[in-house]
Amino acid sequence: MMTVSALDLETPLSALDEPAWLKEEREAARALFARLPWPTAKDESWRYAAGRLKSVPFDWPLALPRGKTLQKEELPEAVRERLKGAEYAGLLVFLGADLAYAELDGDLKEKGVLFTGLLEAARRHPERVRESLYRAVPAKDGKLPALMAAAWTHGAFLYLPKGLEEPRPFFAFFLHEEGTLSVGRTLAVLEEGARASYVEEHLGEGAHLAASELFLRPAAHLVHAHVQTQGEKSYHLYRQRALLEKDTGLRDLTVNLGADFARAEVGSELLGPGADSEMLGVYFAAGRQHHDHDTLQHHKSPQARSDVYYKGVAKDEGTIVYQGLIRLEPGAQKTDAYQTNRNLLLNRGARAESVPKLEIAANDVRCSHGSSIAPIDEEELFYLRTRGFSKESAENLLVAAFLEDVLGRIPLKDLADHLARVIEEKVFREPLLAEKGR
Amino acid sequence: MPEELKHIADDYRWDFKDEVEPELALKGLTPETVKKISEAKGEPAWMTEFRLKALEIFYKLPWPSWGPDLSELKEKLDEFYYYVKPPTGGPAKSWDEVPEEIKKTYERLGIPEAEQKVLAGVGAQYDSEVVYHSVKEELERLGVIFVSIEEGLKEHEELFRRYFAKLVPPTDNKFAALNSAVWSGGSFVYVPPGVEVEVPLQAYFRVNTAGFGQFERTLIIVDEGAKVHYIEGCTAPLYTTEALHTGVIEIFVHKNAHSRYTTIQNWPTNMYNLVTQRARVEEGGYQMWLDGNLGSKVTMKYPSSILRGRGARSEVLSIAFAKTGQHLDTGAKLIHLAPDTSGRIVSKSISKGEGRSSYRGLVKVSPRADRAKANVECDALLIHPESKTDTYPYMEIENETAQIGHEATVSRLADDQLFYLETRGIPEDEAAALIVRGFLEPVTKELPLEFAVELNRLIELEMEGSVG
Repeated sequence: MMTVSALDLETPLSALDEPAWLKEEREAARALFARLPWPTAKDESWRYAAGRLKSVPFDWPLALPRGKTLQKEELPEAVRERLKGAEYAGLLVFLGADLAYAELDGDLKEKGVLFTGLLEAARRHPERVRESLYRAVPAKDGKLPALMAAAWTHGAFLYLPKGLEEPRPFFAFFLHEEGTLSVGRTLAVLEEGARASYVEEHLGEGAHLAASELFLRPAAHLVHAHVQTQGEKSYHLYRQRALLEKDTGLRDLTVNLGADFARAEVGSELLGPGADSEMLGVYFAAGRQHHDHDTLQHHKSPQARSDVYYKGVAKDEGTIVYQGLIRLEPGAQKTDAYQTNRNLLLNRGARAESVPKLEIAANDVRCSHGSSIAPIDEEELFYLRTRGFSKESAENLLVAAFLEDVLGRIPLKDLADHLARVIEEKVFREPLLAEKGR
Repeated sequence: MPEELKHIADDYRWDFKDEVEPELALKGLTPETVKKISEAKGEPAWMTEFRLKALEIFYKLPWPSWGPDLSELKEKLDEFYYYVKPPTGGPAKSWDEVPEEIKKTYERLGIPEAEQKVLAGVGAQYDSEVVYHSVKEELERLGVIFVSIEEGLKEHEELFRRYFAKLVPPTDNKFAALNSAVWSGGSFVYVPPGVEVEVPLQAYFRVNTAGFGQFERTLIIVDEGAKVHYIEGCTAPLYTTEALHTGVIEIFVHKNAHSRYTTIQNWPTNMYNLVTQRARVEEGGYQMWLDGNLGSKVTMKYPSSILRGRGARSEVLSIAFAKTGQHLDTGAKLIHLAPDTSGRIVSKSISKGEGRSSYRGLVKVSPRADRAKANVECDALLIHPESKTDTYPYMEIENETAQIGHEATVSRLADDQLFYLETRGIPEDEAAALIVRGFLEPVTKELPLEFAVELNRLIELEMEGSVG
């Protein structure tokens, strides 16, 4: 296993312009990181991913802020393409660890909405950041969460004051740079009764570690998406925890399409009655990609609801992994919790692992889970071929149909269309096995 | 409680002990114990070596890092008796030769003599030594071997050696290693090609010495096109010392053969029951595991079928009923290694009081297993607010033509169903038992009649006073 020694982090991080309390928090996390063991295949959650973790180049230089900025017309092509025609309330664009571009509707700014870089927010609104930072994804969660807590250099901060409802989405784009290890962190706090949509997209190269902490105060509602379409020689390790208080609603989407090895740990803590968490996932591993997912629905309160729906496709020698846990604490009566994982394998060599788990310690509950792994239906394929579709077109149509019930549940149409295009590209791409003459 | 049920309630406590002094009792887990066991059994040198090597492997292998809490067991390992030889001069050939005290025990266990005569062969195990064993003449005529595992080694050494520990080697897991070192008792079954054994082969196991760990070992070989149903039931008197049961069961199902293995364990609730059950199924063969877990303090048992030949099939049907103080961690494994293999797992669990039942299973499809199909169904019923259930199903699929499905549900004893039955004049307890029986029905309908009757009565008793 590659090591990031304590020294590797200390010098670069000490240069960050930030308050003393934050430096102290980092220092504590760094000590914890040095002490905790790396995950191995013996850790259930890392059963299928520990091998690939070894390939992540933790010795690449840490991406640090260099003060780079962009004008709106200088935004990268990929970002401009994605924003074409889209209405939004705010926009952040990160180049490496630099917050290169930031935009927020003036009206919202006046009403007390904050949408800026997390490091910038820690300097200018320390009280807002400090009360929530590290509360959802603490360093003590493990080796990687400790590294994420110690070494983050950039990320988004979204704050919505009490009762504010914003229908337009907030966007953040992260363009990671080749040959660097970058660590990002996102913090979203929605005060009582606030409503917002936030979409974060990760593009580019390099090895990226991301943590997202989502706080939904009573009756707050958040639509949240974490989309990863990085280059296929890159790495992406992500951990998300949402804390849902009473009567809150989270609509969450995790998308893994890029990277050589991508892992997403997505969890919701249901802390009050009436909390409702819907977590969707879409992933597609081709070539030798490995897409690993670990979900948690943690019911600490009675009368809450949660639903996980993850769908994956694997092609070539791609591996898709889903592990998920519904945990009901004693007293979590009147819970409704569901978990579904569906997998589609397109050819020999592709593999899927599915481990949907339940740990239930209350009896007056409705819990179920289902998982399936099935091939493309030969009859459907044959039918489409008889109607003149090429094999690839027919497959694409069937893959699109397979993913439709998740993509169709994405409340942002532009995003859904964009994802459909990326998926289509992958289906049509020359199969890896054909290249090798097998 | 009706008079009849009271009698059964008493029976199910099994808290009686017979006054039978053992001839030899070996305590503690050392190479000396292992050597003495082998010596007492008059085993060939290769078996003594096998046992000693297994003991070394046991020392080296780690304890499981998952599943139920075994910390108490870890501390007590040296306090168990690893071999107890009752005072008989070898297996009895007829019922008359069985010692009086032991007969009395069987009577209290409720095995009627007449029933034994009807059954094809009753291998009744009294502690480690098989004291009573009868095989119907007809079976002998057909060439079916149904003897104690010790006799199997003695009289059929070549056949025995060809299969023994080939499916569950000592390196498989810590408890398989322990069993391999100190095994004693169990059955050896061989069914020759094409022979269909119509009546089930039945063995009763009993554990009778305080702090005694039973390490039965069963080897079943079903040759080409043959058919057999083996039934094992276990029970043990109640003692205060924690007891240990670690069995290893290996079944070889040859081409087009058909095998069924049924076991209902009702060990007392201070018993650790850690069992490895595995079958290898060749082309066109079929293996059914029917597994009932009612007793024990901790059970870890995951019957497995390795589907090695084209078109091999397996079904695993299981029931777990966990009460306060019990953690039943059970499940099943299907390993698909050949094309057109198929399997089905149905698991039904009930947790009552603070009982905890866990399903832990694996479906694995190798790249060669084209068109493999498997379906897993896990349903859990929770009786009380403090009852617990877990589901840990693993699916590892490396073939794109495989069709694998898993469904699990968790529900509680429903008020509306209870209420409906009560409005029809059915008392609450009976209504609860009725609902539970209905919940288990998909599995219990596969049980031999006498097992199903016993199980239903047991459920009635368990449900008494548990609602309302």
